[in-house]
Amino acid sequence: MTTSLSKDLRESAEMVRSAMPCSAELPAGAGKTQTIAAIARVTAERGERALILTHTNAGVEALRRRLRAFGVSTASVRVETIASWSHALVRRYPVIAGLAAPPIPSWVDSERYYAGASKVAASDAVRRVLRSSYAFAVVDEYQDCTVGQHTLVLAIGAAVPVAVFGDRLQGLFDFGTNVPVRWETDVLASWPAVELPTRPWRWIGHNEALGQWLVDIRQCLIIGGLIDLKNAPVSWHPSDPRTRANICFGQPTNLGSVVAIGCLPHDCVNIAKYLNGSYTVMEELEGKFMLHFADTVDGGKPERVASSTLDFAKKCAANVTKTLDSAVAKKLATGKPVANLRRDGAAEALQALSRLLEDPSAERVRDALQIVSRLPGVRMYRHEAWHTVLQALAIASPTADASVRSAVEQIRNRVRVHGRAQAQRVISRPLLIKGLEYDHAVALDADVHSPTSLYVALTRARKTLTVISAQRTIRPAHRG
Amino acid sequence: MTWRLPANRVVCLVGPGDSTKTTILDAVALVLSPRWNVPFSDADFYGCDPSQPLVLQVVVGDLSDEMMRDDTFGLDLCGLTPDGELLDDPVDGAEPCVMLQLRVASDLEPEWTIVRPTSDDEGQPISARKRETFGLFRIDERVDAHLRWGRGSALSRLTAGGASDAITMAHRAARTAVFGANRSALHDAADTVAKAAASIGAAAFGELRPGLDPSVSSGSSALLLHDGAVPLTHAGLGTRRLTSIATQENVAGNGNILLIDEVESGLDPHRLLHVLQRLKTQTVAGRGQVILTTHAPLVVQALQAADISVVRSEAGVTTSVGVPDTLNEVQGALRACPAAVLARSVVVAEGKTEVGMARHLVRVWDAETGPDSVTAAALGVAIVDGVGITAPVRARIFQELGYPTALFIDNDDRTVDGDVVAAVDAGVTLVRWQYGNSTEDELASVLEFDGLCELLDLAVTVSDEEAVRDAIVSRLDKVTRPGVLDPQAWLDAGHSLDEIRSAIAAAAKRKAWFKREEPGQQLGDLVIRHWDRIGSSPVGGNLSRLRAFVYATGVAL
Repeated sequence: MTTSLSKDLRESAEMVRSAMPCSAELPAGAGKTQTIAAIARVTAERGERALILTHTNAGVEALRRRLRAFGVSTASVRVETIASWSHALVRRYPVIAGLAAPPIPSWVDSERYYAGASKVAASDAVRRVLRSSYAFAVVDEYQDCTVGQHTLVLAIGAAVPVAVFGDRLQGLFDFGTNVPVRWETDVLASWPAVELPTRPWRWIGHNEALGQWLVDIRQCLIIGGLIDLKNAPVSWHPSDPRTRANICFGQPTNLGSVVAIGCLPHDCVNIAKYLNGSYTVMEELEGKFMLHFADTVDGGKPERVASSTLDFAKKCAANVTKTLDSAVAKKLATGKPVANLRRDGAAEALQALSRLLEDPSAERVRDALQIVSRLPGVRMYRHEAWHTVLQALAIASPTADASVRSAVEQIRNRVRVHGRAQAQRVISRPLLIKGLEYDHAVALDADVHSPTSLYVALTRARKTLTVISAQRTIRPAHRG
Repeated sequence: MTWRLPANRVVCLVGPGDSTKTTILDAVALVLSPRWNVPFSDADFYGCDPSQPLVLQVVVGDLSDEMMRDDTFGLDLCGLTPDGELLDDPVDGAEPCVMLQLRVASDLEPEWTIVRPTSDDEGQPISARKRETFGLFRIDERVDAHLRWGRGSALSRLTAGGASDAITMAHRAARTAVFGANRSALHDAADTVAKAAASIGAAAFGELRPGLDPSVSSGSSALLLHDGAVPLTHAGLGTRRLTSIATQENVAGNGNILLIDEVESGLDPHRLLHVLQRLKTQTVAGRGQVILTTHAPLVVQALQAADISVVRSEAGVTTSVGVPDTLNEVQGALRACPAAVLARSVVVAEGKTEVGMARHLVRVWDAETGPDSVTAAALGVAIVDGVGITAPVRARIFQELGYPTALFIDNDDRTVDGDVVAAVDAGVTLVRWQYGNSTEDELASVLEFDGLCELLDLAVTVSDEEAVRDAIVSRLDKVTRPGVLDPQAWLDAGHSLDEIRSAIAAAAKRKAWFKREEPGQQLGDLVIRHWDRIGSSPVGGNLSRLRAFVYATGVAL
């Protein structure tokens, strides 16, 4: 079904179109995706095409959904991640790019793809290709661009007008060794700011006061000031472990999705364990935790596989140690069978773990994990990691030379492209939930976040926001 | 073959018959064909051997913005450097091009792909729809296709929304008409079947009757242009071809690739000139490319020299050489001797006398070689008029264009010596009289008394007796009275036969008695009749060399 464009959106779209080249900074939840889709729509109406680039596959999907809703045909817009578009350019023109890329992109080489694609986009022929193909280019989430990506977008900008969208306050990205673009210098120097009317779309019909408050505190966060929650439309609680758990337990059930937002990975795991499986941990995309275990299984050392299997189960589910205690773990680690130990209701599990000492195959590991998960009182809190590993163990096959590691990588890549399964109650971190929406959010330890991280944490919920911090006045930890 | 087209909008392929000009058009047309499928057979392979795949590649440059789009060819470009080198990528300084390949292996399934010049990559498949963007139109003996609303025809592309509605409606109407027809023998037959079916218990039909099979419906190519009630397929060939060309002109958005086989066919000279003019102005103004073939001297004359490419095929290898614009005076040579470039080999004769003489000699030689042997005409030998001092230059030009060329020239004009040397250096076979001699000098010098008398008789037929006599006698100081035209009288007056020969030659040259083709032919006849004496002379040696040239070129083929 095709939605018609509202007057507001059409005006915003036309504003950006006529201001190009330009940059637009929009707060979280202020309809960035729909504004970009609206630009594509008014462009398609004129029989022109637009190139839209963003960072993540999830972003591409969100844009495509919105474009479909606006009735923009795929022939009149091209939506890609910067990485996949760069890879395509390098593949087509390896001589100009000075780089031979494999047909299946290797994402660790992304920066090299950007450099190659920059050369391709700057060549006379491809400049003409861009001009013949597109009226302009739009780049979303520009605050997440590396300097390498920025160079590419500058090259595109030499061929067609460019509009970049982003929000400095959401500049959260796992850049690793790469240098992020600086909004004040890199962006504004190339693309003057266009001021779009700000409407907190995400909160309309849900909690408009919250939406407005989040717009109001932006300036304060940008300059690194204090956030006073006294009169804010949020419920505040002082931080201590018991309060944290009670607040999480007390979140509404069956009234939409809930996210509890921590800061560091192990904090999230710990509190999830403490919450006894009523929340599930969202895993980072690469899945180091799962890969680590996969490597051990691939290694095939019986005592290591056996003890790691128990350890993995303990790290994914609460109450495993109630039956499979440290004595069991110690015996397994030294290669001693545990089948003769007497633990209530755990005979089958002990047998399965013991069997790993003779046959540490992926299939047996899978059996053991499944049996452990059925022990009385065991409550899963890392479903995503657990299911990924079980699935990988099923796919892996020593005869077909398919390791557990490669199976995990394969599954994580699918998640990278298609997104995670939605859970009703999750524990996560700002980096992982940027761009996602929830009904209710609990910012656990709000005062340990950087300003950008805090802003992302505060802007996820559309209905209720609960903040837990030492003081009612929050001083963000450090500049992000 | 590899053929690099000259940088011209109009390219006219010339060359003798069977030099594979039409095959070149076929190849270009196949690669750029907008048809879904083209049937191939083993006969389409070199030597009928399908084990070696047939690979045709066409590089197209000067791409339109539509072709440059990333959803057309924008991400499949290769590059052509200014010095003609093809590169895999369209690097700066190289022209962006697209390289299409048609490959047919022994399964006879054509595969169209976009490839890169040096890459082993199998390339990107290219749909018939994308091939349509090249706007290929071919005008040949199957010209009627463009007068129909068939797939890929100019007419179809001109028709918004397609033509299938009309066909569907027509078919329904036809069904209705058959059902509504008066009772006929068809109905009697149907009744018989109905009765028989009922008697063996097949079925009790309600109304068994003749009707048109609804599944047999012709495509839109059954629709064709009519003038009033007359289908355009019944119009004259020229009209049909011109209408086709006119139709495709209207489809040209960003320029088409128009292939015209034997452009002159069906057209009278002034229509032909008009079409050529039109094609040139249309393509020069915009984009597009016209490749045509011709066997008509008029077409060669009407085009610029640079428009012409010479096609030759020897031992299975076809070459096509554009007429280089660096070749001086090539324009004049083509205008003056258009037949030369349509031949296999060329005899450039100095003037009308020599043309006439050569033509006659060749006719006699053809007859002498017997009914089973190949005639000079079959060998594709053209005898053209070099028009005096330009003859050596023209001979050199044709030789340089790849035509084996003989220069048949006299030897009394010192100003052309340099050009003659240049021609010989270029490989021209030289047939030239002895130093200082004109054709008249040369012939007179070898004729005996009776031969000289015949020469005078010949002169009389083009001039008149008194004038001939006066012109000769004025050059013989010992003859005091004109008397009659009688060489014996001049001998009697004390002149030597050589003096008389010189006087006749000088008079003939001065009065231009033989400077036309007809007398030239009669000189040839004279030579043949006195061959007994002439054969062993320098004249005979020269003419034997000419004979060897004319018939030897056939051996090379």
